[in-house]
Amino acid sequence: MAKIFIIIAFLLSSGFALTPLEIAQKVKQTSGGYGSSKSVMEMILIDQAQNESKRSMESIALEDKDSSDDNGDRSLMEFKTPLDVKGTKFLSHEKIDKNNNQWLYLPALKRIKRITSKNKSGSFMGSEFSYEDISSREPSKYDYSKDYQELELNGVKSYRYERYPKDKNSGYSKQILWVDAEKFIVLKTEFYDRKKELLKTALYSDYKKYGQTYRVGHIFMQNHQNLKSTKLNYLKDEIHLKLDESLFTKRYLKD
Amino acid sequence: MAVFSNADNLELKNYLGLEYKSYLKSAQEDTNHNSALTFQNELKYSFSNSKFYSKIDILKDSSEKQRDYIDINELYLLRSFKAFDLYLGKKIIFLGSLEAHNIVDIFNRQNYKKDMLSDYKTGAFLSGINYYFEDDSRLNIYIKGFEEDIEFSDKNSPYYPFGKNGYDKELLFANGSESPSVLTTYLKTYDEDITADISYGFFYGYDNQLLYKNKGNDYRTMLFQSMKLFTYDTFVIDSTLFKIEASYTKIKNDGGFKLEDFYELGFGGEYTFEQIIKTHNLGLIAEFYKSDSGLTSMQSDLFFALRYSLNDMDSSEFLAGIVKDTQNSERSIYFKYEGRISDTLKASTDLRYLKSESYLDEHLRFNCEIKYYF
Repeated sequence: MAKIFIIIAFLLSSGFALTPLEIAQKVKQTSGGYGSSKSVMEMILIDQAQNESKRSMESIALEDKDSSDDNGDRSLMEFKTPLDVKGTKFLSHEKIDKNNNQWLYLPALKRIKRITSKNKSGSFMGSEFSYEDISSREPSKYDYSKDYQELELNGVKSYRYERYPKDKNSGYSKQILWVDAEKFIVLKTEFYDRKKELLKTALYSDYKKYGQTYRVGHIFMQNHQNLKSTKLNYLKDEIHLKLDESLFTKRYLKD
Repeated sequence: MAVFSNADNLELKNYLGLEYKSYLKSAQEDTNHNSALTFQNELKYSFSNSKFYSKIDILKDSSEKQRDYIDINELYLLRSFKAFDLYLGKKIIFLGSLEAHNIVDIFNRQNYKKDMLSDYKTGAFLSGINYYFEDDSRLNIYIKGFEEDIEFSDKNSPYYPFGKNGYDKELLFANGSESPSVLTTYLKTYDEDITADISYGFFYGYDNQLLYKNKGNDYRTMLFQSMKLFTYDTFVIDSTLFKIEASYTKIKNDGGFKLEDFYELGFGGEYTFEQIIKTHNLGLIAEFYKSDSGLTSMQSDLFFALRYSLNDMDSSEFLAGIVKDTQNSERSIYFKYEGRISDTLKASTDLRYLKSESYLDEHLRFNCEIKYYF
């Protein structure tokens, strides 16, 4: 009889236990469904001497609804400060299995410039965020650890698992994620560089729930190697806006 | 249409600058330096489906009065409709894909008083339409109403091209009286078998190349009429950008200068090595230019440049470039640093060496500029 109970318990647990990939898909599900969004962001760059420098930008994004093709989300960002780059715009059309299409509008030259998206590990506006950190995290772009651990992070029951970027141009060899086991939102990520050494830690907080969608309000990124850090605050964040696809074209790369 | 902000929206951007140029070697020995105050105001006002845009540039040189200007460089009204935009006013239209020299950037004229050796553009009086197709391609048509007088630096400046002769800024037109110029471009992005931005263009009107006619003791600029077919393209292959610019020009009216039809071609590539030291990137750019026209200085020229970006808080960047004529001893060498001192203060400095068969002869210049943004 005990044997039967053990077999049933095993079957049930193996039937309902999640894999790290499934956790990642659930994270995508809870952060997805935003349709289109408009955000005002502020980035505070902090150097080793704790001197601060502020960057601000506005962005709109369009979620890809058709998962059958190679296209991902689209976004258009405009830099507001520092003032010398005010009016610079960055348009990105994400691709799932190849490099993203990206263009930059340079207002001083009135020029739209195609840029390569290979630079995933490069710093975004001199901050501790890389281009890779700010782009959407499609689960299929990673391989995953076989197992995960259940543990508490600041009193919150969470899943801890590892993922490994498939892209050879990624700046990371490994990422360790802590995901809220109830809400399926990312609480913390550790980023390991190509030499497999701990490079950065990101802490995510101030989540807001709009319908079924969670949106992060604050990200703190600490670089352990250069001792610099960056705070990213979402000052305004609106979703389900029904923005037209035509807004995410080169038509809007102008003054 | 205001994408980011509310419908009624005013945006301003200004800078106050101080520039200094020292001529360490120049054919003209009269002036060995220039210093000037610069100011720029940029204003955008968005309302309903329209936008008003203006850009005012002011330069006040400490010694060279002729260089001073207050320019309304751009001033236009844009009205957006579902599938097209209409423009009316003074505007800069950039055309091109290459880095060292844009063969096809023919619509706007250079501001020679700001800097003879750089490519500062002045707005053109135009009316235009940008029509957007559903496949994200677009058709642009611009009509340039009239040409503004072309001015140069003072006689004592190393950048005065007419030696001891005077210059009358009033333009001459090869066809007698002035007529409008027309520019049409069609742009399309490909993303299936190839990843590329391809542009085709047609231009009829006053060429961007200038002719100088001697009238007594003074020179005057003559604009000649031509018809151009051109293309400018960027291809993305793996992580490298390949760029092409090409044009064929048919002379329509040259006012007796006996110019021949000519072609211009430029092609090159750009590749960036990431994180060569910490977060630093190193970009390599190589380009080649070929033309059978005596009007351009890029007849058979190689360009090679290195761009070193620190990717730091101050956006510090170093640039070193060389342009070498493969058929004679003409060359130009260029070093530049650019970066932020604080969030509102930006500095740039460059050193430029030029060996040319033009009036500039052998020229070495140190330049630095600081801009306060507010």
